[in-house]
Amino acid sequence: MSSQLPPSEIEAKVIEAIADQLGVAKSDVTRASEFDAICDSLDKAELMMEFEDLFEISITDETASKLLTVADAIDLIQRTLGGSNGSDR
Amino acid sequence: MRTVTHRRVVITGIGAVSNIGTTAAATWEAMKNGRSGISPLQSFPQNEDWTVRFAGEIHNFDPSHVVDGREQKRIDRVALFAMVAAHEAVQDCGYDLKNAGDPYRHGTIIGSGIGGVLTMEEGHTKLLQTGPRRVSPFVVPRLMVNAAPGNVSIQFNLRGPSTAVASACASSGHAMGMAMQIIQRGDCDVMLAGGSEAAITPLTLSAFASMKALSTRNDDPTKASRPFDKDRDGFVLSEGAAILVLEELEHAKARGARIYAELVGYGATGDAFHIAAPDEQGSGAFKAMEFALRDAALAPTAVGYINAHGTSTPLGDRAEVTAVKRLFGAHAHTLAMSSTKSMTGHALGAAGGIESIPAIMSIYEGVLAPTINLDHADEGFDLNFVPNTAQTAKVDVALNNTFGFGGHNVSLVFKRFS
Repeated sequence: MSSQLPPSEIEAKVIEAIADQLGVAKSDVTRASEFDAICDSLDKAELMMEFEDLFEISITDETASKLLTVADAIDLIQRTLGGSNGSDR
Repeated sequence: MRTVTHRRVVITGIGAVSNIGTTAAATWEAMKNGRSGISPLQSFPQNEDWTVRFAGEIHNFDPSHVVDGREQKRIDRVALFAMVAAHEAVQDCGYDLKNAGDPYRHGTIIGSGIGGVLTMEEGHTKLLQTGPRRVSPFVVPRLMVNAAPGNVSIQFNLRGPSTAVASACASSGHAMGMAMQIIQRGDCDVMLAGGSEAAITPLTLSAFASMKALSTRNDDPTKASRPFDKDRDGFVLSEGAAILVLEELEHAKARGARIYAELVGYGATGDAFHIAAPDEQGSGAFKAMEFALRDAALAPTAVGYINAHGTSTPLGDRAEVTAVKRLFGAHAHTLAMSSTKSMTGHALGAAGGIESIPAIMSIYEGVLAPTINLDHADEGFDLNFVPNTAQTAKVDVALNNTFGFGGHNVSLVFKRFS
């Protein structure tokens, strides 16, 4: 996965991964969706692994704990992929 | 003889998932027809290094009517089996367990010999391949041996005692016996009890094969499980679950429940002999049956049918036949004893649950499920094993034997309700 992904594609991939993991329709997941409202802590932990695999990035536990909404996750991934080292560390 | 008066416990619901039926009713129908559930292995690829290439797998298992797709990913096959069987049992008993009564009077005990070993193996493979940060957070809730009762308690809002029993192939027997006692002593009114197993995995199959415990009749899988036959060469690994609704008698009567039979006795012993081999005289099995009948305050002559542990291993079957002949004396030649593992194979910790169905139905329906593949009974095996074809008989008392690695022996006594 390269850093050439357009933002809209990142958002689509994130929402698709969340919907797939939680077994819900993509339309049920929006940028405003809060992780605490749509999943439990185990789902969220597995989602972080899924994002790491999907975008070939690394998300620390500390960073993950600050991701409250789907938009937070999308923004983090965009920032990380846009950065020089492809990592938030 | 009992010195304490117990509350009485009856069976009001039955549920099962097996390789011969997706429900308890279908499983019983297949048993009466002598159908084998053994087939060439499909779960994982095998090369010629594998000495055993068949098993009693459940094909096309679909729990979607009980657990939605999202939840399915969080739950191992072993607990999904239990949840599907519990769903059927509760529907069958006609009591809205989830919403009726005091949830603290409802509980569950579900046995499993091995638990979520498929999850354990897949999780370990992932750890080795991708490192510790990629191990799924669902590994522990999936693999733990108590995942089945944990999930079933959530499924039906059971807030009374909820636990697992792990005593290898005797797990279901212990689960049902202990659940009976919980109702008898007044702690609960309804218990979901039984066992579940889903251990047809590369590690488990190869390990049982290394013990030389399994039949290697690869060229004829449906003939491989042949309890009491002189050509038996080991058991056939299988999987499945069965759950009974155990209910206090007055509770059942008050709601006009259909009663299949009464559970009246539980006997349990340990061989204290060898971790995997049976005591050749079947002393522990003998005592388990004796104690179960004592608990039931019944004489051995009352017993009309025994669902044997009968795994089709050379030593195990001999020990059980020896114990039965010693305990029952001349009556051993009057009663009938069959092994339905001849059809289902050996579902380890689920075996006792699945086999409670033919024990209960021998009383309720008057039909004895056969021991199939019994072409030539072994030397000295001169009992009525219900060879190859079902028989009809009026049975008032039936025993359900389960014995496990570790030297665990359990015998349960079911009795016609009157």
